[in-house]
Amino acid sequence: MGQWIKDFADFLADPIIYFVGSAVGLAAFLIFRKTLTKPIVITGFFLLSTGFLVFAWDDPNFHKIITKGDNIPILMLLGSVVFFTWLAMRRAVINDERTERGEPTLEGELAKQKVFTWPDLVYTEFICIILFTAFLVVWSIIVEAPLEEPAATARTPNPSKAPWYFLGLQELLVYFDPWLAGVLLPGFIIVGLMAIPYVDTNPKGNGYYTYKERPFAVWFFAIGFVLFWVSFVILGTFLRGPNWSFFGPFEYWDLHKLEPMVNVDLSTFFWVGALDRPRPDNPFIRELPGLLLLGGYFVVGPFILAKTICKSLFDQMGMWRYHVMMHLLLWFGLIPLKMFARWVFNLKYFVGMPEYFFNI
Amino acid sequence: MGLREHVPIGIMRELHRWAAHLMVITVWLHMYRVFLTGSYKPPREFNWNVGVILLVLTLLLSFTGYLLPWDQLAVWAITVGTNMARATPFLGHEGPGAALLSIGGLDFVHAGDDVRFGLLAGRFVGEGALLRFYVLHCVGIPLAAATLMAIHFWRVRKDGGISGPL
Repeated sequence: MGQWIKDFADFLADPIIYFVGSAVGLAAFLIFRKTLTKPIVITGFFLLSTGFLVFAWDDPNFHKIITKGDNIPILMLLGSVVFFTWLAMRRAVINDERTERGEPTLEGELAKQKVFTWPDLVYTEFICIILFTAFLVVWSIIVEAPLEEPAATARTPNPSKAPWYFLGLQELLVYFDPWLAGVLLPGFIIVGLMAIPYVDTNPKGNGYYTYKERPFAVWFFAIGFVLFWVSFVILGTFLRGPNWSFFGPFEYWDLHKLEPMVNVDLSTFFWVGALDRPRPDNPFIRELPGLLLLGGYFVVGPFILAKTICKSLFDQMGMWRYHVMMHLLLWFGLIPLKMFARWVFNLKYFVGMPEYFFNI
Repeated sequence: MGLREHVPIGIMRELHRWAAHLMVITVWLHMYRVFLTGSYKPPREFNWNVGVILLVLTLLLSFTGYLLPWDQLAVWAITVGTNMARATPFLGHEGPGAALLSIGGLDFVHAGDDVRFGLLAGRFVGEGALLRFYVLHCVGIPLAAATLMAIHFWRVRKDGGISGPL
């Protein structure tokens, strides 16, 4: 029985199943939010997780990865993101019901009661600081901060991992070249975050949790933050071992685990697969299918969408705002597209021009 | 090392590291809350932008601090992190477009002058990088972050309180 659960957990943690499972779970949570935001659900979740932790504690491989000093905060991250997602949706459901009945939102109710900064707020903050410090001291006494052997640039550890908060980006390296995963996409994340208040013209839902008044915004951010940031950090921390190979939580980190890489460029699919002839020498002709595909995606796509399904959005937002948002969203959308293309077709690059370090 | 050897009760290094991790997590969760309550909408859009910059500064603070223990974990995490800069379009020597910036076989962008070199003050994570990261971690970024935090809190008050309806 125990072994069966461990094997099943390893199976679930496989990157594809893990990602698709997380996506389905998140979607189910947002769709069935009325039922799933009941207190019993989150209680059950934390009881089950605790039970699982107790059950798995003795396993040497699991114990090793879970008790590594730097990994403990990631467990806290996992717990708190689950909890706060639940809490936000719970308040959103309650607020939506209250708005339907014509009552003020929970936050609106709260805003009516004013208290003084001094002493009420400062007093509360003071207590919080003391409690937090006590917690931190206890934690620091129990767990020692990691300190490895002195730096040696000649010896590369395996795996070499970036600091944990960048592991989401390191996970993207599986699918994209560094210029996208490490430079362009993080740049778009920052620019995109800053652009949010200017492209979101929906005046509703300002200062309180709600789902019904801004469903697209909630879906977008839940997917972006929970699925593509936090879940990737967790994947990168707990499930990626030597050579960035995948390892289940109960699996031994074997240095010699080999994963066959048989990824193929789109140009090979087109010239060799479909036309049955060798690939042309000129890289621009060779990569024409990929260039046309991505050109269509980025250049023609927004215009077609503006005339069809996104017409009302286009009229409401205006041309510039619409195009800025569309391009940011299309870059974001490229990530899951590439991931699925890799999983299903073993696609290496849409456009592969190593001559110019230009691989997408 | 001083934190471990010279300070009594020997948990200062632990306090520093765990609190730093929690700071990153807290800033992420704060952003999550502010987004889901729609608290970035006017008139708070300016403060949301200050917040995004503070988020980046928090990550940079943690990133520069990561190198300072100067152990294997530190050096290789920073190596992996800064390797990305090699691939910056036009500015990194392995980035797309960098090869175009050359005249008569003379490359303008190479491993000795690209953006990664600028970050690390060298071709690899060495003493130059240690000094640079130390100054950024202890002086540069704290000053910038403290200034922006002051603006952040001031705007919270001016814009009608934290994440509540207006």
